[in-house]
Amino acid sequence: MSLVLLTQGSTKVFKTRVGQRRARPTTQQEPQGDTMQCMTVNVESKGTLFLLPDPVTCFRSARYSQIQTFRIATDASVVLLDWITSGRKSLGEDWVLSKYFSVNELLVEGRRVARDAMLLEEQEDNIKALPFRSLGDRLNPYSCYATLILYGPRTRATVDHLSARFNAITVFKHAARPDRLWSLTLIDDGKGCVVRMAAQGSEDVRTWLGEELRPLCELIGQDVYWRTFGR
Amino acid sequence: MDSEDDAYILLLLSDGNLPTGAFVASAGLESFVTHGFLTSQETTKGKKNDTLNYVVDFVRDNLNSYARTALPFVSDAHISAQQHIGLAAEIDDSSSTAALQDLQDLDDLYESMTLNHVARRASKTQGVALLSLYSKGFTKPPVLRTGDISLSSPEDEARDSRIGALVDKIKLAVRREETHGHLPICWGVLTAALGLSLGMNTSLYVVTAERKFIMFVIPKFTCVDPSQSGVSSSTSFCTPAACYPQGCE
Repeated sequence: MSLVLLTQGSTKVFKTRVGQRRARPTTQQEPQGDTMQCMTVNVESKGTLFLLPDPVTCFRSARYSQIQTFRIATDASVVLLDWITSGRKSLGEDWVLSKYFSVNELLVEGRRVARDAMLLEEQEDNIKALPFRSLGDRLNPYSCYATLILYGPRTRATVDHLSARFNAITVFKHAARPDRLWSLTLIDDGKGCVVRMAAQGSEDVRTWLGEELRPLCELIGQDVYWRTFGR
Repeated sequence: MDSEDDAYILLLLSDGNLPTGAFVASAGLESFVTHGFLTSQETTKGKKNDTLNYVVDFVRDNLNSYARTALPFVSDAHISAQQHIGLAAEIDDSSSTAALQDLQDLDDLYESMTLNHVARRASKTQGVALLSLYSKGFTKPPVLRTGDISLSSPEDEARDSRIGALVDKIKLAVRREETHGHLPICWGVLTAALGLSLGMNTSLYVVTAERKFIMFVIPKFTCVDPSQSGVSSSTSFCTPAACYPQGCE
């Protein structure tokens, strides 16, 4: 049994607005106003989950938290994509969000196999002796960061393919920063892998995924594959 | 423990020759340099094209990220080991097992959160080396342990043997591949064993990570002149095998 979860376009996170102000001071703390998305998925024996959403785009001053937990059976499989872009390019937004926090946790029969936590936040306590370093300074020159987690028997062919591709990379000294960077780490004795990618834009990532995840095509069908990654 | 003892141990632990030094891992700087990140990019306008600036940026970002991940583990391991060591009762096997289980759980969590094989390997190598450092460099030599020469009180003796037993158990668990022996956990155990306070310990951990860049990693790459990084050219490089205090063998 397989389930493919897609989105209808990127997940847009709007700026956080200050809530109503009370005339009288209250002891209650002002809520931070984070936009939250939590998802807990259980995948039963022999099941497969393909979570292939479009990237999250945080607008200026947005605060976003996303907690995703996947509890799967030993012989279940998952393909999890989680990616973020730097904002609305057309409005000149480039990493001007206030906070982005994402946790992806994968448990196989209750055993934690991977817990990936990513926090992007504008730093307040900058060191005075050094020049201010904004979130954009830290994340540039890339405007799209992606994490892909694959696990389970049905991802075997894809994991093997990606590993072969990764091992074939020979890094010579680059003269300039590459447009796209990726790395792969096998998890749980090679039963799965974590792929990380940084690229200039989300389309670069989508194109790359479309080329490299071909072994998944027969699992989710040509139509869905094309709709997700383009032809 | 008084502040003079504290200061002495702090100086010892901040020695660049310890296995937390840069001979083991460059924490990604090597890859950063190879991938051309010391060259300017159009997007970083108005910035001087100075390699040292890029290295400083790297160290800032690296520490920022590493401290967030590792420090909670350092604190928790320290507290857990300290509680075990501080027990008044004689060595109780169940308490030692509980402490070990606690540390193993932390180690497992750290492993599942360190999702890069290079970082994992570097962390394990340094962690295990720290435990060996404790056994070889910070425990009493056998001649002082046999009882003929009694230099310390029975309470101290009991404390020492509890620490020794805990460190040995962790080392054995690592050898049996029951646990990983990641650096933050081993660092927490080591500093608890040496009786450092928690606050002192965590700030030292960051200093050690940072100093590693300034003293050793950066001069290793010809991109930055050692004199620029504040290190005299006499800084010698030794092999990992030599990364122990002299005379501990």
